Amino acid sequence: MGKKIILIDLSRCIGCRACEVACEKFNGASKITVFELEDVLTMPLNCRHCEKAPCISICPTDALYTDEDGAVLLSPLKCIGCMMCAIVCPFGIPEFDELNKVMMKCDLCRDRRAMGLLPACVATCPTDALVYGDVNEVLPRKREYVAQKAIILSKEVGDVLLK
Amino acid sequence: MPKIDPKLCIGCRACSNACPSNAIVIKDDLIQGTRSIVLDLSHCIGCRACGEVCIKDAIEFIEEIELVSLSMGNLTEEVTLKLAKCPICGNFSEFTEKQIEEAKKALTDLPGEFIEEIMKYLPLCRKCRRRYLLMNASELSLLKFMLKAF
Repeated sequence: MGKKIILIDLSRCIGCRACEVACEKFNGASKITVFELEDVLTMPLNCRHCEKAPCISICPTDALYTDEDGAVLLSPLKCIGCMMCAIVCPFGIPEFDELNKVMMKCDLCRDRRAMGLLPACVATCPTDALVYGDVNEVLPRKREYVAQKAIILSKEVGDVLLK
Repeated sequence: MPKIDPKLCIGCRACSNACPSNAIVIKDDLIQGTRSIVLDLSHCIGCRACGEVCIKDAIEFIEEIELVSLSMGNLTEEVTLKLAKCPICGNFSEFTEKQIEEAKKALTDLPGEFIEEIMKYLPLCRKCRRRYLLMNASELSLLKFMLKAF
């Protein structure tokens, strides 16, 4: 089984926060947040499920582990809520659950994957800004897209500067 | 009866989470930038759950202690630590300075360049991490690169 990822396409996100609502409806608390950069850009951000995850390497109780799809999962029975994973996460993803006194994070919709469904945020996104798939299929698509964008940009910037 | 070693404690609040009788309470002061860990011995039931979870082994147990006192102050222990200040926005984050130092020491399993990259993020607060990330996102950095190239 290959590693599964959720690809974020910044240029397609319209900041409607439907992913947050879908995640909250399915998981009880929203584990994806739409971050806004002063009316310029919006970015939905969930756990990136890093291949070499710093949270797994620092966890003192080995509560974090990867499953067969490459998703980084948290075992609430082992977690002691020491926040070390939140400190080392470059995206600031793991959050403290005040009710259960453990950390909580995105599990790439483990239950929905078991049922053969897409993660809730991806299934809801109206503009396909979130793309779920195998890392070997999704990343080449992203590279192709960025390369096309670079060609368009270079033409536009060139036109402006040559005038 | 538990006793917290203020030199070893990093203020991670794992003991407070584990305590079934709420004898250890964490109080964050976001204006002064301090976190105090208050252990109230009059609530302690002696279950030693705090010592079990402590990642720095900062809690030791003393067998003999006199629980009769004229003032409540004698029955509480308090450890005060500094909260880390985000260098970008200037607000105090939810971590203590000692926690960040501990994280720097403990990150050794990963390849060198990853650790260097993570070190840049460590002192930042949650919001500034995301801002920093968005500023370095591939499409924006592409735009910056294009503007530099011409």
